[in-house]
Amino acid sequence: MRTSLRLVLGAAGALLLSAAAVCAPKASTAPADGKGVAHPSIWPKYRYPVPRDPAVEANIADLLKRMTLEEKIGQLVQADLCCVKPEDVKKYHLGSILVGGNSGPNGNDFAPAPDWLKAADEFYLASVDKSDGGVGIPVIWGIDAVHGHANIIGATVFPHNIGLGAMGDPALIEKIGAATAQEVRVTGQEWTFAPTVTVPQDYRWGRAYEGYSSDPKLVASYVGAMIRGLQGPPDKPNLLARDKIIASTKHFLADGGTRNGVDQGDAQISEQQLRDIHGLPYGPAIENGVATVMVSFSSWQGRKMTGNKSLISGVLKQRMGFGGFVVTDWNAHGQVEGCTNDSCPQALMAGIDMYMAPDSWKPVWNDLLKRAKAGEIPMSRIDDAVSRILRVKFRLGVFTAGKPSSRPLAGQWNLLGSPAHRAIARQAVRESLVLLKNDGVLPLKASGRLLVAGEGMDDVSRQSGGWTISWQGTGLNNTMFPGSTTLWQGLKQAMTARGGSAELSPDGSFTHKPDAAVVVFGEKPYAEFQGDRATLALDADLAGPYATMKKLKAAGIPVVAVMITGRPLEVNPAPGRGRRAWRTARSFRSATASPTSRRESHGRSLRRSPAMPATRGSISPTACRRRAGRWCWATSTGPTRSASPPFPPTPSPAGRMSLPPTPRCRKARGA
Amino acid sequence: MQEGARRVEVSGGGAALAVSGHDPLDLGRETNAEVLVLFTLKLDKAPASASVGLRCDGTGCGVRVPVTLPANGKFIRYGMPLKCLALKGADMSKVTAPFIFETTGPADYSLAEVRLGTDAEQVLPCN
Repeated sequence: MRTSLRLVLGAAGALLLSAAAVCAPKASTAPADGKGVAHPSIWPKYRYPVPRDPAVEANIADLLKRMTLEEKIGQLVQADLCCVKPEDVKKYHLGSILVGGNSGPNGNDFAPAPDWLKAADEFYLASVDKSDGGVGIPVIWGIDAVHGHANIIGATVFPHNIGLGAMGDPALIEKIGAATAQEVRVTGQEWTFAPTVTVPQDYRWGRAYEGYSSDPKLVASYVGAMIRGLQGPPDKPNLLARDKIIASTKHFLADGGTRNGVDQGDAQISEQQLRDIHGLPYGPAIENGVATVMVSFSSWQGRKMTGNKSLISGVLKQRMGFGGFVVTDWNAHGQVEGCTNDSCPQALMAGIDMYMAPDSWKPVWNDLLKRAKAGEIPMSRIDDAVSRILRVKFRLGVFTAGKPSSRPLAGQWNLLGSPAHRAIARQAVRESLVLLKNDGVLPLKASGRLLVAGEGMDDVSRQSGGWTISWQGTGLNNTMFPGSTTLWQGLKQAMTARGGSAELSPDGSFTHKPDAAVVVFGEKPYAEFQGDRATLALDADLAGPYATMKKLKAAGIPVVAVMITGRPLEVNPAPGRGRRAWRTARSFRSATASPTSRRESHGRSLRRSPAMPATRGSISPTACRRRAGRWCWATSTGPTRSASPPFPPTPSPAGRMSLPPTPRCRKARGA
Repeated sequence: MQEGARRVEVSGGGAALAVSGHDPLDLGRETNAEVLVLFTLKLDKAPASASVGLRCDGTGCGVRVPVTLPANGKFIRYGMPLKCLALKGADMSKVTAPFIFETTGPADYSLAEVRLGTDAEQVLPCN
């Protein structure tokens, strides 16, 4: 909002300025016929490997006969912890609850681990309470364990997906999935909204770091491993009797294909591109028996995915054979043409089985019930959706598992951030480091004197990014990451252990000339649209360390530049073109650190990851060419993405009173 | 921060400071996501009354939420939930002025920053 607004001071009455701009209103109707309608016959078929157990099917049929309409509608609705109490789950028979990134038990996002397990018990016990004569279907709890169980203080935080993509190591992915599942089970949840299998095509998108790669083949090569790690093999039921949870691949479809990388925007691409780029990872997801799929906020060809029957029912369920259930994103149904947050039968009719209705669950529940009673929604669709949800719950084993605290692994607090899991995380961090250039300074001499400058080098939250404890990964301090190691701490340990020394100096000043300097810089944490940017450049207020590098270089000190970021950014303004290590992920709890030894600086970590942009413009998938064999990236040359960016410079510093006029009717982007 | 801030002294009566633009902004996505209007304010002399408001495109489209802010001479990043403004009836799909700070009576304050975000130091109640 900062780029298109100005500050006006005046007497109160003068403020009711008439709004002069006349922009085209946002389309709230479905596009013309043919647009945004898929043709399932051109999509691949897959085999969903989860066996159908006749005994389970008989149970489901029996339950469907005994459930009231209210109980059935309840299964289709998921409420957020912000806005639901255990007694609501009992009264409305809710099928699921979730915690969004900013929610936690008792209204406390930072609640200690035992509180989460206690809350899980309370909601479970309310759901199976049959005192009102109901069938008592156990509730399941979903959580964004997208890079480890990172909502929970003390859990192991793994690199975000862009960093994992840079590893090129599917075997390690399965271990990360298994460790994450175990930690989720400690606090009593059963379902993670992961893995994200997006294939981001424009890294200005604020969620780009949630994607393994812009190359659909690489993403597809990871998906099966992550799902096996989380869920176990598809033919092995009763996940809760073991150390597994159910997964969710998201966001179906083309969340990473929106125009200009605008979060929740519109993918203006052909059906073939939709299938071949964004659809590819859903093959291995289905073939490994993913239990749930989350549908995207975004649109395809002007039509919101959450209401797109041709893709959800036609392609995903019927053509691809997906046998689990489909859930929406956070109130995404409210964006469907003709819908509001409180009412959207269109989503159910399109093939959605469960509404993620965090704060709107009660009106959604009432609306669905009213429409079902009026015959506006066929019972066959309701029964199908309920059956799909029950089938997943039987596979999970939640009917026989007892309350969450009584299940295997529950309350084993030592598993949260256990040494074994941290070792996996550290390996992932090492493998995800990307060395851009080394003209001889690396490896550093550990016996020397090292200066560590820049910003964010002693701040775990800067290393961890969004979706860490809080939604945006902001408002945190190092004490909320027990057992973690900052970059500074890791460097200091590595230097002193080998007889050298390290000095922390954010502005790069020193009294004794160091043998070398590490200057850390990069992005601050962000999530979703809050991370959307107009250009692939660092925000102006984050470019301070460039001057520090320049100063150190001028003093004849070899400089290692370490960029912590959620996406590739232009680095040309960074002086000292000598060495630039770039870390693709911002995840690195216990990330010790940079290559101080030859062992760590070689091997996989030397592989080049997504190409660095040469300009601030976007990456054009059509102009894509292969670089370094693996990642498909190139800077684009199109007229709207020229080397001279078509956007105004990064937002003005705080407190600036007037901003330059901007073109009228330019699409507003997230702040 | 102080260097970038702007100080406003009001001698009396009703006064207001607004961040506004020509093009209506669709803040529906931000509202759904529990985002807040953040403003970093230092109050040296508290007004008789104050409110945080928003204006949207259309006749009479706008809301104000009364706030009580202490004059403590410190910059504080306050947050007004967009959801509160929506609850009061604002049309968040066409916002023309996402931040309006109104006061009555003599006041002396400095404003350092206005933006959307989630990292408020103090979330204001939806009065």
